[in-house]
Amino acid sequence: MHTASPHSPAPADRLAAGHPAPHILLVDDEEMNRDMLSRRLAKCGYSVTTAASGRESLDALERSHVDLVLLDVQMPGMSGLQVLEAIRGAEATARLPVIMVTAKTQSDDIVVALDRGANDYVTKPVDLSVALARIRTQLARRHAELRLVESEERYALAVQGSNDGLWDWKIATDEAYFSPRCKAIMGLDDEAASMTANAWFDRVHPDDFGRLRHALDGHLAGLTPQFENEHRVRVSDQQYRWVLARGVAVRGPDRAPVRVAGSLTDITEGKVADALTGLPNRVLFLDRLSWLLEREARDPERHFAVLFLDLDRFKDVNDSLGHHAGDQLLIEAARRLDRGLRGTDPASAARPRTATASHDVLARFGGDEFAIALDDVRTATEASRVAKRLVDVMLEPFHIDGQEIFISVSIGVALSTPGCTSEDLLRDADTALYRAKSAGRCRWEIFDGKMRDQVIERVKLEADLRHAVERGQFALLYQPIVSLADRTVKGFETLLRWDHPERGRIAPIDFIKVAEDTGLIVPMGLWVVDEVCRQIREWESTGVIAEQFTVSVNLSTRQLAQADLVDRVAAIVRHHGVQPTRLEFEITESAMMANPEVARRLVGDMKMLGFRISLDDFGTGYSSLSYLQHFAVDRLKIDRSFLTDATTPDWESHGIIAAVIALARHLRADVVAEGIETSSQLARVEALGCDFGQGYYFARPMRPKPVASLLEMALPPADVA
Amino acid sequence: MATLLIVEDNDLNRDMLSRRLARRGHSIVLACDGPEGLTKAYTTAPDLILMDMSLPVMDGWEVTRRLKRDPVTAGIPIIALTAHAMAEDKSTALLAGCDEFETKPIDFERLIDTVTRLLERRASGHHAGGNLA
Repeated sequence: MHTASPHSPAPADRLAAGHPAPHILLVDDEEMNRDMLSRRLAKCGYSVTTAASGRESLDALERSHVDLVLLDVQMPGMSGLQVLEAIRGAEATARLPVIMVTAKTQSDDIVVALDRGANDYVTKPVDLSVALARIRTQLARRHAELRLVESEERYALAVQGSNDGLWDWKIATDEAYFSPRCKAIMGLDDEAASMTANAWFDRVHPDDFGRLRHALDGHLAGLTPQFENEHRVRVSDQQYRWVLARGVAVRGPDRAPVRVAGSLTDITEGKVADALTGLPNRVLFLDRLSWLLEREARDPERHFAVLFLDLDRFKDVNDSLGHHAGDQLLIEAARRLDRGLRGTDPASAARPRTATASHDVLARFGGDEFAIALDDVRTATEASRVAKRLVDVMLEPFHIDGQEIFISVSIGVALSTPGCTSEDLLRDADTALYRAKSAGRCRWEIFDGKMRDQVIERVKLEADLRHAVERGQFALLYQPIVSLADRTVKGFETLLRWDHPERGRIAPIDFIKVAEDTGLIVPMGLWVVDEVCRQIREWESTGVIAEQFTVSVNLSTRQLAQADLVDRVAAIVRHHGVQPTRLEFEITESAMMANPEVARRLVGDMKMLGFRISLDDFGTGYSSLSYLQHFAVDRLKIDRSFLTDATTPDWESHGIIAAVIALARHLRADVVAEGIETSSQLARVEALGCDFGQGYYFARPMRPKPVASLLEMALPPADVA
Repeated sequence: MATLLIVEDNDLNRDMLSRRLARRGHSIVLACDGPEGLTKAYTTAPDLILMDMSLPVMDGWEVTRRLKRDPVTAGIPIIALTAHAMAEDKSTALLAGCDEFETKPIDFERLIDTVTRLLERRASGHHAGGNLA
């Protein structure tokens, strides 16, 4: 047996372009026949292996891949018919093309051979052109058959469902087959005949390509039994689809991958929809948004709006009723928003917009956040109309798990402007939403230039405030707290002032909120304690304050949550050597009730160290007596509104003040009336039995120096305990 | 409660980021440009940094490279924020030493997840840099 290589250009009937030459096994016992025919076939571009006997030919078939056998019928030992039988009997060669070579006179043999599965025959002496024609025919038939098998394999590999595309990639030639459905998913031109795998890979989203390559290489290297990867393919200039690609490599005898074939499933729907509500998700929303922005760039007459929505107090519902109820609520809320958006609510007239308003998208961003792109909106009024409907549609109670739940929605609206980006729109809508929430929830706000200015103003204030902390632009003022029994000063409330280098003195009301939001309140608060301690030591050293004299400092909600507050304060006080009883910490009733557990612990710790605690702005919150008993406060400070608010009738504030005093007696706390400005107000609180008073009637907040002179002047010997 | 340093030059973006992250209970430190971000990273010892990559004066890439070069600050996880969804940006960010990469407009749910994950990883001490502070 020996093998001849082709030396002439490739024949036209090769199995496929780029494939090695078809391999023919020539079986003949006569050496001369073998030599002559194998040389001539090799000249025609075939690769030929010869075998001198039946046995030898079967060995050759086992050892190497053969595309066609030319088999001499009459051979000593194992006859051609017996070899044919063996070939057909083996699974690997059952469909291998076999052409019998026979003498003209042996017509019976030909019939038997064809009966037993020979594909064709040629007669001796072999007419080369006839032989070549028959070889070509048989190879072509076999090729077609193989293609059919391949496509059967493709189907076998593909998952169920006609919606999947099928693909097949021959690695050596980089030839790729994509089924029509596959091309449709990828947005490929169906006409394009032959393709390479790059037609696919070039369309993969740059962010996803790495993972796809990794998964594919892993499978080709034999690390995974199946190739599977989710990625995005670009189907048009700006549009991507999510696909799930699955496949299996077909390996050659040496286990090297020859082809990979598999399926492609469009999973965009699942990727762009929110699983809970079925609404489009953020990905799809941004996709729509960029489409709308592009359209606006082309057609500046057409505008749209972005609405950002957030369910008010959803977290409370979720925490108190559990996730299941929370999910049900979100589903129902999504339904209502959808209804409100469509305007199918019979109570509301359809909004007067063009018929193309179907470009509206309601999406869930996650949690209780929803976003809407409202198409063809030109004015704030139009957007408001929709926003109002969305707020209204949520007003009806929700029935979840047999419970009636009331929940409202707040909405921020941003109108598109030429040249804006999706980032701008979402951010502006979010800013407007924040404004709506701050303004009391269950409402909508439309972002405008003024809001932008306010944000920038706030941001500037924030930056200035940070510098103020670093540069020590704060000062403390002290407002006397006067004993109503003898009109002597018994202590001070410390008030923070900010001396802004350009804007002058700024009152706490204008910066405390920003300080709280940014967390700057924490260093500011510690600075206050430090400064107060220093001042107390100074007053003590000059002997202007009596032993019972207290100085109070305000603590904000944010400071209450500061885990190390007590330790830090204690360290500062120790550092200055100030008696803790000198210091009183004022906590507003609402701050205390915002997190009663934390507040109770903090008050307990503070009291343990010897500090005094007072409840500020008392009477405005809704704390119950049973709660207050746990707090062991030293003082209640009646909110100034009960004295100064003209809208509260006298008899009502009178009653409240009396009740607070009674409560204080019960708690063994004393009472300070704040905001006393007139003698009649003083007379009222005095008559009711208040212990102390504070307000402009006695003194405004003062600088430390005048405070010292005030104390010196009011230092009759009797006042010193 | 963790301290997050946000380095972002756009007032409105900074405002929204800080507001939303503060709402999740984080303490926020802000910086408006590269040098301020670099300074704040040292003076406030944040648990995590959100870094806009296109900053004036000194850009986010440079700030990140400097922070990651110094063993004192190398352990602070940095999330790069960029406007471009391009793969090159992502690899540049990761090469500069950023721990994660988010593109604008920011997906807050995802950002919160990323922040939480990085903070947990840092708390459990698995961060490669290892903070000396």
